[in-house]
Amino acid sequence: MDKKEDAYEFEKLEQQLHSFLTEISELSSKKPNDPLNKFKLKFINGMLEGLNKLLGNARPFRDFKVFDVDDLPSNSDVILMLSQYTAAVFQFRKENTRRNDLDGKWHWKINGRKSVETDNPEHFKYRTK
Amino acid sequence: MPIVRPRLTDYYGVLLSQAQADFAIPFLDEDIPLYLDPFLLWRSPSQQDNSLHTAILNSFNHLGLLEKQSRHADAVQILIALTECDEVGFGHSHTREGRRIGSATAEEILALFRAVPEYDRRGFHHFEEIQFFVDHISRDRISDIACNLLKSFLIDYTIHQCQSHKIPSEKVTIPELYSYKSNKLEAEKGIALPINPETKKPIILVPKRWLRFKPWLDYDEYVADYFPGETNKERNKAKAKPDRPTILTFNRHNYGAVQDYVTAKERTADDCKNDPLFSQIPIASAKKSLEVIKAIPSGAKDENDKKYERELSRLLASAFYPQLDFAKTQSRTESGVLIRDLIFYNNRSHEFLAEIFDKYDCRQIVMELKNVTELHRENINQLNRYMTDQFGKFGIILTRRMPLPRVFRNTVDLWSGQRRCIFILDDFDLEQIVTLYESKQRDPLDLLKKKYVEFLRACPS
Repeated sequence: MDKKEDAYEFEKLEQQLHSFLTEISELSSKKPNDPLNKFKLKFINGMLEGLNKLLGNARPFRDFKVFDVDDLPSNSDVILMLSQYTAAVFQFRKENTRRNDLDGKWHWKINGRKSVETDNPEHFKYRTK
Repeated sequence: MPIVRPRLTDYYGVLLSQAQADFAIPFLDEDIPLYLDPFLLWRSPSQQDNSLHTAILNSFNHLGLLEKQSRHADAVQILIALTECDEVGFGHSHTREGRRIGSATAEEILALFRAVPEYDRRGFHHFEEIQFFVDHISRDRISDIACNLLKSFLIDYTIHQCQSHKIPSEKVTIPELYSYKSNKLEAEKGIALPINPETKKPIILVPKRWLRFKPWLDYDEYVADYFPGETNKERNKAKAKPDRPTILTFNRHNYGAVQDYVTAKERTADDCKNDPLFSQIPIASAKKSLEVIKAIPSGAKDENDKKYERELSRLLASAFYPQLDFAKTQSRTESGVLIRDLIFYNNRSHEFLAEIFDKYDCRQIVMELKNVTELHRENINQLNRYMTDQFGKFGIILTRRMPLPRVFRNTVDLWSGQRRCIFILDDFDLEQIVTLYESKQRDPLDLLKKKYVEFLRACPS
C-alpha cells in the first residue's frame, strides 16, 4: 500500500464485503437461484471495484472484475464470488500488517514502514453466523 | 406495413403500451371485449364523473318527458339511434359494427315510464335498470346508450388524448350526436378524430377507468342471487328455472324487488372496480404452467403443439407484461409445415426493446414455437424467411432444448451476413423466466436482454 488513506479505505470495504456476504447468504439460503436485483448489484459492484484497485494482482480471479448486470447473476453466484474475495482480502491483510514486538500492537505497512494502527488479522477473518 | 392484430396506436407508429395509456387502445378490426359501466361513473370519487352520470340520467329521463308530452315518435327515434355506438367498438363483434334495437323494443323501454310508478314520478336513478324489464337489452346496449349520451364529452377526451400522444386525426362528420342542450340528435361537422384507416370511420377513445366485463347491476346476478321466490338451491332442486319473460313481467309488477337489488348493490359500491384490459396470471399458475410445459412431450402428436402454444402464450403474455403487450397467437403454413407463433407489440418501453426497435426495425416481436427435441437448420431458415415488414430483422425461437453448436452457428452466420438477430430460448430459460416472475427482483424481460447480450458476445465483432 502506498498511502494512509488506502488503509482506511481497505478497512471500510472489508467491512462492507463481510456484511454483504452475510446479507446475501441469508437470501441465498432460501432462494439460491433467484437473481439479485439491480439496486443491490450496483452497490456490490461499487465495492468490488474499490477492492480490485487495492488488491491489484492479489484479486482472486484474473478475468473477473465486477458482475455484469445483464447476466442476471443469481444469489449463489454472488455468494461464490464474495467468499473468494473474503479469502483474498484476509490474505492481503495478513501480508500487509505487522506486529510490533515491543508493545504487541498491529500496524499497516505503508511503503514498507509501519503506519496506521490496526488489530490482529485473525480478528478480521470472516465468520459465518 | 401489415401489422398482426393492429391497434390504433401501432398503426400510426405511436409507441404507447396499454399500461401507460389512460384509455383502452382500440383494435382496428375487432372490438374490445369490455363495456362502459355507468355505475362506475356514479361511484367514482371524481366530481366530473359524477356529473357526467347525472347528465346521462337527465338525457335518458328526458325521453320519459317526451313520452309524457305525447311526443312518442320523437322519443322512439332518439332511443333507437342511441342503441349502437360503432365509434367506440366495445363488445364481441369481429367487425366493429353492430345493429340497433327495433322499434318494438324501444317502445317497451319507453312504456316503463308509464308502467312503473317510480319511473313515472322521479325517472331513473340508474338507467341500467331497463335490462331488468325489457328483453333484448343487455350490457352491450347499456354500454352503447351510455357512450352515445356521453359522446360529446368522449369526443373532447379523444381530441385531448390524440394531441398529447400525437395520434393523427382527420376532420370528420358525426351524423348523430346527442346534444345535451337541445336534447336532440344533430349532425356535427368538422370534428378532428382519429380514423380507422381500413374503413375510414372515426374512432372514439374511452377512459379505461370506466370499463368492466360485466356491469355492476347485472341481470344474471340479479336472477341468481336476488330474484325473490325460492332460493337458488331450491330452484336447482326443482330444476324449474323461471324463464326470462316471466322474470321480466314479475319485475315490471314488483318494482320493489329490483329496487332492493339496486340498493344492495349501491351499498357495496366500494367493491365496484373497473376491470383491467389485461390481468397477469398468478404466480402459482405460472409455476403450474411451467410444469405442464415441461411435461408436454415434443412433437405434434395428440395436439401437443397446440397445448405447448396455449400454455406458453398464457405464461409469456403475463411474464412480459407491462413492457410488452401480447398481440395474438398465429398459425401459418410454410412448405407444408404448420408453424405457430406468438406475437407481441413492441412499444420501446424498455431500453432493450428500444434497441431492437432501432437496430432491427422490429415493430412486433415474433416468437416461433418449435415443440421439437432437436432444432434443425431449416427451422431457423423458416423464421428468417418470415422476418420481413413489421418484424424487422429480429426473431425468437422457443424450443425444448438448446440446439447443437452447428445449428446455433447458423444464427451467428445470419447475424454476420445480414445483421439479423435470432436467438433461441429453451425450457431452462423458461424456468428462469418463471423464477424472475416469481421473485419480482428483476423483470422477466431482463432474460431476453441477457440472451441478446450472450448472442452478441458469440457474434464476431
